[in-house]
Amino acid sequence: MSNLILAGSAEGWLVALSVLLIIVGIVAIAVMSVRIARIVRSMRTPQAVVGKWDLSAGDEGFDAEKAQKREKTKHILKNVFVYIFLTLCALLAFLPFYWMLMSSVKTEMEFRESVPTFFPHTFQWKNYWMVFHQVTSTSGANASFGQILLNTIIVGLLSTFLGLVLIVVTAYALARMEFKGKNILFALMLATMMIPGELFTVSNYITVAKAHMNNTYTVLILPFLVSVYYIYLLRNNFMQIPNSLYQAAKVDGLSDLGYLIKVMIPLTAPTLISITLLRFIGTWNSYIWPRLVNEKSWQMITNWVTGGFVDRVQATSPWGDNWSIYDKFYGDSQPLDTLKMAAVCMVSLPLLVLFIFCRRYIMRGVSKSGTKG
Amino acid sequence: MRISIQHLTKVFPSRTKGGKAVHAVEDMNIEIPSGQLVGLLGPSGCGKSTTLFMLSGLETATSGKILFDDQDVTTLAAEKRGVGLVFQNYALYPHMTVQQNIRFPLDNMRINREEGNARALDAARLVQIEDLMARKPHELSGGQQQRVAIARALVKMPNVLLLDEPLSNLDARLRLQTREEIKRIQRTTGITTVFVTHDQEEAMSICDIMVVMKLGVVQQIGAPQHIYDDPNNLFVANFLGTPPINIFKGKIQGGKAYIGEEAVGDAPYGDREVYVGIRPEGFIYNPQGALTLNVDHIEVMGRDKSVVSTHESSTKPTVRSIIDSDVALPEGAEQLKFDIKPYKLFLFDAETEERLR
Amino acid sequence: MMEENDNIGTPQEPPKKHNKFVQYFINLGARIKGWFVDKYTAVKDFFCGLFHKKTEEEKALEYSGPQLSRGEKFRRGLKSQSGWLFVAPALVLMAVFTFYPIIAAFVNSFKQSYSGMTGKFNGWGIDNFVRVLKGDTGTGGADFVQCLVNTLILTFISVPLSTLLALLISVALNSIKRVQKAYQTILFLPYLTNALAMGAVFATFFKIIGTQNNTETVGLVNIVLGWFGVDPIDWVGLRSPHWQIGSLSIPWAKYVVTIIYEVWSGLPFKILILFSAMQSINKQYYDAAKVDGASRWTVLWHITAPMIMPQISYLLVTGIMGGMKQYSAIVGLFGVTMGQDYDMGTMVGYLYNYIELGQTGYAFAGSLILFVIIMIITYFNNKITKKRTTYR
Repeated sequence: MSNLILAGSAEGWLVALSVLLIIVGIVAIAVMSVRIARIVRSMRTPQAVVGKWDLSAGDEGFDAEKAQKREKTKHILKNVFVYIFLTLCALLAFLPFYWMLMSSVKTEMEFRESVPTFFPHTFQWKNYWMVFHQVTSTSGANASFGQILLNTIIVGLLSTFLGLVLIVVTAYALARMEFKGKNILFALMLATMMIPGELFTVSNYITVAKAHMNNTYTVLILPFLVSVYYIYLLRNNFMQIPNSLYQAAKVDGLSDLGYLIKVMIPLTAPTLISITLLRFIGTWNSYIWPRLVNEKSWQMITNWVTGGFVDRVQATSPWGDNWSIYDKFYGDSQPLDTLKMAAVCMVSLPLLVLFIFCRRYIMRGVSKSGTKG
Repeated sequence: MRISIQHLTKVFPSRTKGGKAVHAVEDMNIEIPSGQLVGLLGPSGCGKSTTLFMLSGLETATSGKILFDDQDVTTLAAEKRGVGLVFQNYALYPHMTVQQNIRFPLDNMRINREEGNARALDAARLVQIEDLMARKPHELSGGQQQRVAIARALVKMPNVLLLDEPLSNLDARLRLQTREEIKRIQRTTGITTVFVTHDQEEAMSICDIMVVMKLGVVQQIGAPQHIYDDPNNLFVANFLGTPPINIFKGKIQGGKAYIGEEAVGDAPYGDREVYVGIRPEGFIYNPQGALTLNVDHIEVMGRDKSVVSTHESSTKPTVRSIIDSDVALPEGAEQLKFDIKPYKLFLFDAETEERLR
Repeated sequence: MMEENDNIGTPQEPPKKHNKFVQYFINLGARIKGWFVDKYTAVKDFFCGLFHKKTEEEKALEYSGPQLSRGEKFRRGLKSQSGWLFVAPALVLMAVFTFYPIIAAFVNSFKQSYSGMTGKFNGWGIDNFVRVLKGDTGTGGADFVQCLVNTLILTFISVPLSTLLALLISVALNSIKRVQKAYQTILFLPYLTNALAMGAVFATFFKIIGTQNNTETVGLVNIVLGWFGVDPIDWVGLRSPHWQIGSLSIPWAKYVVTIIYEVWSGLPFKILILFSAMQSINKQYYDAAKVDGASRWTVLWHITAPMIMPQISYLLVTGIMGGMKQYSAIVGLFGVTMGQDYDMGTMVGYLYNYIELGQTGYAFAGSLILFVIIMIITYFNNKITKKRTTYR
């Protein structure tokens, strides 16, 4: 076990020195690579000599056929290299998902083998059943999956839908309506984007506690209903709709509300869909605030995942008392990693499915809004 | 529908504090008989679009009245006036098909589906786009979009059809074609039509009545040819006609109008400084003529030729005179003399720029 | 021609030159004054607009067509302000959950021994700040300096690293023609993950899982290291190696794990942004460069890089901002206690730690310090990015 413990100031200097060495090393490598690149460049394929009209000298200096051949080999080599690099990256990006899926159906024994298996010997689907039946009844344990899923879906749908209505209405007023103080209000809203949200959390925590709103859905929904960034995004989208369209609609006998519903919303539909998806993903992934303000049975799905999952449901299992192998080694109180992986799968898979169906909107929304889900 | 505009004024308050308010339209009075095609003509910023928007109800008048057939519509909302409006950029709803676009005003009038479709098809036939009904606006060319916009304006059978710079976004060939089309549609439907343009050629070619505006003030109203032949002031004379009128600084002395020291025509008015306007076609070549021009070059156009010359009293860099191509001009002459047709010569007071008559 | 040249050289009064140092402060003063004047005029305009009595001139400009009844006038006036009705719900929510908390944070952090629930406090002062910075909170909670150091180290290593890697991958992605979309999609997958859930998966990669039949079983990473003869390292557990500098602990093994995880989870967003930026570069530039015989690296450094500089700086800025607020990845990897004795604590983690300990005074002070640090970083970010983003 390489356990390097440095104490006292002399060793502190040592650390500083090693950091310095690393930096110097990086710089050296950078300089070297530039040098190497230069050498490589000097060795690259011959070219037709430009700036020299006497082409008879070309016999020695420039052989078009040879150059083409070399160019082609270089091109193929480059492509092979690029594809290998990308495939490696893609594999690394995908590896955790694969590992998660496979671990979730392994037996705990197999999971703990000293040489891990890339494909499970036996598929133990029971893991999912066990995770599904983790119940709150005993102290310190998790809430049931059903309860948590219900919480998440109710809160997710409500906050997405209400939030969307709020965003549309506010963005509409800011984009299309004229009222005194509009610009100051808008500037004020934008200014809050500069301030880290954590600054609000402490006060909000107290506000909520004082209002006795703990352990409700309301407390999970209300504080995050207004999203200044999305309002800003949608307002800009609305502003891009030419004014003449509004005038045309007026002449065509449409009310303001009709214009919003029949023209503005259809025209900004891609943005609205992206906002909806990103908001839902955001709610699905919310963790800190629910943990602060609500008890376990009122929390969200991500909170549920962080709990330990133990093998304590044999009594009610359809496979009878004697089905588990875990307790032989670990008893029934130690959290099991395979169960945790099964839980992680249950939380992650819906997002992946959502992604498969709405890839276009999600990717566009992300690249446009640039916010992390 | 007869339109009567009485003392119409529109003032936009200044954008900045303490700035000057913009008087977009001032004390406008026009009577438009039913079934006429009226062109509002003027350079950009002259208030012609504002007038159109006040007629449509999208802008509210600051003062004055607008009457449709003796009915005061000044404060009536746009959707209640029964006007059709075609926008400069067409303002088609991008997410709707052509058919939905045309039917849209009818939907808002709660007209049932079959009748709506039938009327939309009629309107589409009128502008000859019935084959494009299933397309989206972005799949259409500029001219086709223009037709859709007109069909949408016509489909509710408006009392008044308003067109805002209808041809400015089209290329030259389409522009010619479309302006005849507009004339044809207006003739077929007999709807009182007002359209806005900054292109005098366009206005002259299709209007029954032309209204020339400058800085919010109406300069002259009348039939195109009449305005061309008898302009009220320097601005109107200058604005109409291609190539534009030639303007010289001159004076009136003893009942004669002088450019420099040369008398070019009679002027039964008092002695004063004037601008002398001569239409390009108002020159007659005559070796003993009244006005001497320094020839720069001669452009041959086929049907006629155009003498480009200079004159020290001209307010423009060159003087252009158009002569029949069969008139023989001396080769390589540096100076040419012309007589001036009296009805192509206009005199304007140098101070007021008003026409002297 | 010569005469024209004379005209160009019209003598101009040269501006009075100060010494550079003095000039800097003069400029600074002018800028600060300008800022206040701007805000002042904006606020003044707003209130004047509310209570302004119209002058005769302004009245003359208003609608004077058909006279309106008093009721109609009132209705129209109300209608013109109906925008407030539309923004009211958002405004109320923001007032309660955004504007009020900002003020509260500023006020309450100066209350000594403040209890959020009862509202009781023991005089005003900067006691909270002193104790937070000294680590003298007496509650056994996280240490602020430790959290600050962790956050800074993690952020300033992982953000440049992942941006660089994203740049590399985007360049590679941009240079291929076939199956581009497929690669892009797979590389985007990690974006959608739940930080906590995937943190747990990563932890299993690095874990020493336990003993089985008296032999230690280790995670994937240790096995791979074992092939190179490296003894298994307890990357995330209790025996994780660390350096000690005074009271500060540098748990480097945990840093490595966290950085790998953050690079993995940060890549997709960065690749998406950089790749789409590269795709939108006008192909004509590349053709022109090809004709001019530019090499691949020349193209990369002289065409691609400058064109996507705005996106790179945007990624660095948002990355650093996000990094300063990291928390859930830490919980996913090391649990709610953020490692052992909060040795992997972050600044945001610090806040939540003290909220949960019921020490709202410290939490307020901590959040305000975090705010100030982020503001400082924002300021420098703006300064740097303003210089850099000149291409669009």
